[in-house]
Amino acid sequence: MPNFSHRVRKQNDITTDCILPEKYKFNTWTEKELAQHVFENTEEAFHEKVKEGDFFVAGANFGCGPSREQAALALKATGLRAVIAKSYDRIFYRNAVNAGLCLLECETNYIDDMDELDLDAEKNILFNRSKGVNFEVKPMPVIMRKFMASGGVIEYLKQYGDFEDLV
Amino acid sequence: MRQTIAEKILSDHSGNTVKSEDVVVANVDFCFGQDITSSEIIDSFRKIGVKDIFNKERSCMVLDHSCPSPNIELSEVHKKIRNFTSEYDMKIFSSGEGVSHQVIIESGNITCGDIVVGADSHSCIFGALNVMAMGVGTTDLAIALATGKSWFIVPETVKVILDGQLSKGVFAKDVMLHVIGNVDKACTASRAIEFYGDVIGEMSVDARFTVSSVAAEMDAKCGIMPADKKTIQWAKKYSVREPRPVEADPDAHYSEIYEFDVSELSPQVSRPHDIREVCDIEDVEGTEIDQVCIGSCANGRLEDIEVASRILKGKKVAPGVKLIVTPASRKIYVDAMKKGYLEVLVGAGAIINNPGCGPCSGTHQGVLADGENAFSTSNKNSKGRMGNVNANIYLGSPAVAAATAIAGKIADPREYKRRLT
Repeated sequence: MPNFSHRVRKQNDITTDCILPEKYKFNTWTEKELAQHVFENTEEAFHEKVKEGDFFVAGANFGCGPSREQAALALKATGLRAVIAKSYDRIFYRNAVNAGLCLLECETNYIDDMDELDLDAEKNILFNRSKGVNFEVKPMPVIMRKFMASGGVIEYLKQYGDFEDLV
Repeated sequence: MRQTIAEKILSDHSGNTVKSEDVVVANVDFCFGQDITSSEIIDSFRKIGVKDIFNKERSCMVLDHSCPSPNIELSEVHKKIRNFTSEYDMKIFSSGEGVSHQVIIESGNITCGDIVVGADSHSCIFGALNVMAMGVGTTDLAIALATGKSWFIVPETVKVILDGQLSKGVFAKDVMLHVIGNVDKACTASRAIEFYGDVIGEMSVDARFTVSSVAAEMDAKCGIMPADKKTIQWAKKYSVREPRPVEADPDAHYSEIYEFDVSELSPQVSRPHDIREVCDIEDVEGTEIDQVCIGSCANGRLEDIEVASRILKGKKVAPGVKLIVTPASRKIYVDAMKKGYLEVLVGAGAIINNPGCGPCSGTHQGVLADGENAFSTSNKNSKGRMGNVNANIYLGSPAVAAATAIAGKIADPREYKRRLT
């Protein structure tokens, strides 16, 4: 089944508040519930558009603003395979890696909303089937690949109990 | 390989030779949370599911932001933290012992060459002791607490050189406000900062803590100083472990180098609502102030209280103005009492809080009214920081704070030059 890109109106500096409104910050919500409220203040029924394995695409400094781990958790719970952006906020980046939301860095000017995308994670190439162009994705460090394979740092630790083999 | 201090410390703690942008897992020497963050740390820790915390001597939780608790909700949080620390036989510093950073410094549990992570944004304060210390999120802290390790993206380093000699009435806080007002935050965000220069060399270790604490406001990952004689002396006296000083290679790579001559510097004031809104005191002198706060991890140490008491000796706080003094730790409180500083301050009309974060946390002990102006020695003046989004916060040194308390408006402490020997 083909997978698609999802973009929102804003391109650069998308904040954690925009990803998930502040009222969902407490731990009383399950991840599946959080996923239904992603971008609810700025986009119409965003979560209904996203299918398992799709991609979210943004410009620079994605995830800036208040350090709220729920934003990364909620995006992951929508079923996205990865977020693709030009750059990320540092704290959001950490939160995403801990939560197991895959973040890729790449040129995103030539990806529109609902373009058909395909990722070769081994060769670090992103194919835009709708436009017939390919992009080079910044390779993920080895440690990060291991974290992602487990579903994030927390899941990695649940699995292995420690970072033993990584130090 | 030419390395910065951060690169060397991360190499040493990860067992690999690293350079900026590498991703590594490294050992953590000490980790801690405070009462705003520890509740979530506990939840995340339980989610990871390990049986025990990694090391009982190398971790702690500190109740400092809202102590004693001003409401039921926070009392419940404190209870949760106390129950957790007792369940795991973990070190806790309870209400009234002091600000996390200060009590940890005094505990001697960290030393030169360490990696420290704290779930508090001003954790970079330990950089003054040649430590790579970083503020992290609650999940990251839980990871460190469970494993004694964390993953790091090796930061680029910015070098800040502070030359010259400070004139009387000008202090570490003024220097840092000047630096913050003059560097591009985009160039310091997520970077390690290394501080050098005669000005740092001349500073006491306590004044250096002010510098490293305020480095957080440059969005820096950490603010590290090389270890000199004073650092080593300090470490030998207080540290429970052998110091392992780390210096940068002479030809290490810096993403940016800033050099300041601060010989001519006036006392500096940061205006509402951004610490980067820095000006010379001459530009804001005379601004009416309702409340003056001396304390916090930036400026709540003995020498800060001493300067305030020298200026206030035999004087009175202006009518209608509240002067609130919050010693950063119980030790400082007792020392200030023994030296007679507190007697002077109380005699002048000051309110002395129990040790802790005091009004800087915005939950208690000096919440402002709408439209009120505060002058504070803390390190944040963003909207709502002291509990009211309609109030204004000016930041500066304890000397400016004391002079301001007497005048009831922002005042230049150089007026009291003779008292500042």
